[in-house]
Amino acid sequence: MPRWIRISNWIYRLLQGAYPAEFREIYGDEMSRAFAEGCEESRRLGITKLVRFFATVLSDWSRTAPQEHFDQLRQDFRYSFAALARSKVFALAAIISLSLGIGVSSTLFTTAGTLLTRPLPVSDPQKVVMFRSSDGHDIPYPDYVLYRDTNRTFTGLTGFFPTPVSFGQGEKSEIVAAELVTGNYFDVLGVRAALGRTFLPEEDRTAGTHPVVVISDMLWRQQLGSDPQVIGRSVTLNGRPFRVVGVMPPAFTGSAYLLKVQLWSPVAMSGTLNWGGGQLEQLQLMVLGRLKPNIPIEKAAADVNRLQVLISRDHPERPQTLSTLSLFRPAGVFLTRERRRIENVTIVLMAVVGLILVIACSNVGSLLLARASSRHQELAVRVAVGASRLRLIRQLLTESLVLSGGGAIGGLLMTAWLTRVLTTYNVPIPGPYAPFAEFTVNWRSVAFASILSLITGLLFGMAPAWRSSRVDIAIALKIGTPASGSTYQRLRLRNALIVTQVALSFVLLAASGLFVRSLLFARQTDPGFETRNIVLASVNLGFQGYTVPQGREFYRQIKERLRALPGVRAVSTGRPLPLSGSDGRATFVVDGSGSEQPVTVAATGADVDYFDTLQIPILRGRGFAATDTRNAPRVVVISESMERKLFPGMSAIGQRLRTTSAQPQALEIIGIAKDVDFGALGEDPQPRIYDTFEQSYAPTQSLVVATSSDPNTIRELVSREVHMLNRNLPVEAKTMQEYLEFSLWPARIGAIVLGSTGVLAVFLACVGIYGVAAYSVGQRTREFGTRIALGARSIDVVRLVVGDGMLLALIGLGLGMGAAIVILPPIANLLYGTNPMDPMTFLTVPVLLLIVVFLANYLPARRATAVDPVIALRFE
Amino acid sequence: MRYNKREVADLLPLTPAVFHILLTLCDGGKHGYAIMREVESRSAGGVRIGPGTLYRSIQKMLDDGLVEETEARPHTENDDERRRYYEMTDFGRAVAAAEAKRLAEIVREAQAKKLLPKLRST
Repeated sequence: MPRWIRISNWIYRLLQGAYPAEFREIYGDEMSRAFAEGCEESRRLGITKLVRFFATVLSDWSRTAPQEHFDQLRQDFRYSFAALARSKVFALAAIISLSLGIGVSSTLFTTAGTLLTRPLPVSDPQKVVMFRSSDGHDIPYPDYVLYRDTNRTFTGLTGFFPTPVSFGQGEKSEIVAAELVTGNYFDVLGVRAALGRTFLPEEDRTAGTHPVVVISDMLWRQQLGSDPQVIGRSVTLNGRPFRVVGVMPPAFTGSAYLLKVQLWSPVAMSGTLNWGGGQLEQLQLMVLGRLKPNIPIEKAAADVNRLQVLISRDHPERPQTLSTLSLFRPAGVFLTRERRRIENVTIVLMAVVGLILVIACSNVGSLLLARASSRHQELAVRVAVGASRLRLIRQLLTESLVLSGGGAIGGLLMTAWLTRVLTTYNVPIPGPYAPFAEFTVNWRSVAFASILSLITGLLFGMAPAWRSSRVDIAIALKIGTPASGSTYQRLRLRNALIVTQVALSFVLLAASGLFVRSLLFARQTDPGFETRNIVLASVNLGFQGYTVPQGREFYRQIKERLRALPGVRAVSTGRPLPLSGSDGRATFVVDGSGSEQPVTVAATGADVDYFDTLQIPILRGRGFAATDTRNAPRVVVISESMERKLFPGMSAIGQRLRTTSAQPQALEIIGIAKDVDFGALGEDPQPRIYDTFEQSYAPTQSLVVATSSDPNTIRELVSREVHMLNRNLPVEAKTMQEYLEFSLWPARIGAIVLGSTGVLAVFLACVGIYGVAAYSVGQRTREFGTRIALGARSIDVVRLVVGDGMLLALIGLGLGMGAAIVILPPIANLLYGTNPMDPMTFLTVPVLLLIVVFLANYLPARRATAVDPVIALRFE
Repeated sequence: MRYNKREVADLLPLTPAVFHILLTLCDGGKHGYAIMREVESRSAGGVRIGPGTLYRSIQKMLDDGLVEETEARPHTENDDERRRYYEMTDFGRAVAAAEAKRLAEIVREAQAKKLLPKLRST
């Protein structure tokens, strides 16, 4: 035989490696022989024949090797489906468990992904970066201009700032979120108007000369009836006419992602919109830049810092800043505060969801193990007819992959449903700043769920497959029971899985129990002021261009009108609203304390009847009186905890404070008010200072109306009275109860999310424990039959089964408590007045879990004892 | 021997490779390479079966009971003992016949549509 034929034979042997091992084992030699003979004969018939033979063999190989693999896979899947169809209850339980586990995981992945990584809705968002100053301040307008005109690394820089604006006229006017933007804003972001145009360069050069506005698709549809002739139409912003020049496409919602920005106007119009003094130079902007091609973000940051040094050198008249600038890619929620909060919540949720997934996996794992014992004979038969152990493992893994694939589909359906629910859910934040986010199942969710199901499938399938594939045919076929050694190991693994499930369920249930308790506690908390019969209405005269005397007159009149309404007990004004999520700050020095150290405390502006209206007791001294006018000495009331903090052991009445402003003013303390929860319900008492409306006027005030009857009936009247005075003034009247709901929102969400995951965990554990108990009882039917035949009572058998289960549950509970003691304390600051080691929770949860475990074991045990011993023994 | 019509019909139509192999085995048991060679020569080089296709088909035919391995060996001198021979089962013959009939009907159809000249029966 010529050498080259030997070489080609050898190469063909190598190529055969592409066929599945089993096929190779049976037909490999035959194929090689056929190949060698074909070679030999073709060679004799000439080179053309030989080349044609090689071509035939190669194309045959490249086609049939993958086909053979595919066939085997198909066969594995067919077996799997058939095997699962034979045990429908098992398959259903496993798929539901996995669907829930994968569903919550991929929902979290999808929503957190959207919130944290969604790119800005602009063209080529990877090139857009945002300036961040180390002191958290925005960039002064003149600096922005210098950066814009002298940088070398950006194709464009744009500045903007978000602000509320009242849109529309009369009673229909409402506050919407707006962005005041530099003229190049849309060009730098690379977004075009769907209708009309965006801004022209000349529209932001001179203050107040171009009252133009670009509106969002939503505003166009909801407020302007999708008017196709909207371009050129006049709309009213803060009481002034503006001309609509463009409508943005629906996808563009502004650059602050969580806000639904409804309109954009040039920064040059800020004065007309009563924002600051109308001078561009005094504005502070958030700055976005688009990187030049091939410029990395680090290089642009170096460029910006170089410019910052130049600015402070060339413009010594500017206020010098010690802050440094850095750049980052805005994605998702890029306002730092919200981002951090969402990141923290995501981490907590990830842990919770991870636990659920682990429970689901160990659940399916224990079901598979339980099932494996009943399939021992089936597998032994397959080994006896020649299936290799590898083939068996592959077959069993295919089964778990079919299950986890079902779980992925179920999980994605659940994700699709949950994300829809979350998208339509409105966070009850008052005002135009209700965050919004649109969550949809995207290819990332699908990829995530698929990968997760693959991993979980391998994870929970591997150990049982490995175990079950170790079949001793002789023993298995002879007596029809699994070999005793492997039974022991299998039991050990199964018990470990059950203990894990109980332990994790305990942790989740305890956490949800704590949150529910915390919510109940918060609901019963007395914030220290009247909450039932109160209507609150925020008014911002600043938007409407009121002067200070006009503003004072407005508030005098509206209070008079409201007092005249039937059912109104008292009226006052104050700011900010209690429990609105925002709070004032005041900084001062304590006179005569010998210390010039400034002190900062929470501050509330209050009118004369404020304490009476909200029924906040004045403990000593007096509240504000009509005599505390502008020209009288300035007076303040402080909270009891402020007195305790600044004047320990003495009375603060008559003491003096001094403001730290450019012209310091003396403030005399005239009264001590009881501590109230203005910031958040159940908070620690905050040192707080109250100053009077008369002596420190601000255009933004909340009307506080105490009613003697149902506040809901008064609510509408309050808005009406405001509109009688100024029909263009947007006003939002709410009852204090509605604000309370907002304040309770985090507690409620915590309780809902953890409560539902806790229930989910228990449900999963239930399915797992029940399934395992049912299978093991099924396996032991013969044993029970024997026992009963020998005189044991049913109750003894039930006790036997339930006893085993309860022992495992107790071990699980012990471990779960240990874990809870480590895991739960860090969530304490999310709870209202509830100890993370709350004894009530730590007592009820174990009892609940034990009942569940008891039932999950008792029911199958009960059924087993109902079996006629004669039938049970006939298996022998 | 009569076979359940359902059983036979379930296997139709046969893949070209399987039908060719069955045709080849009509004359008696053969080994793999002999089948490959005969298929090629019968079709004047028009149909070529590679080793992969051949043994995948044989595997399937064994599963379906169309062929079986045979101990009977032709009296050739330099025959390798390890070489496997296959012969057609009765069921295989029935299936091959059914397939031939199916194809013949298609040919008749084609003739009726004047796609083929009528063959004279010899």
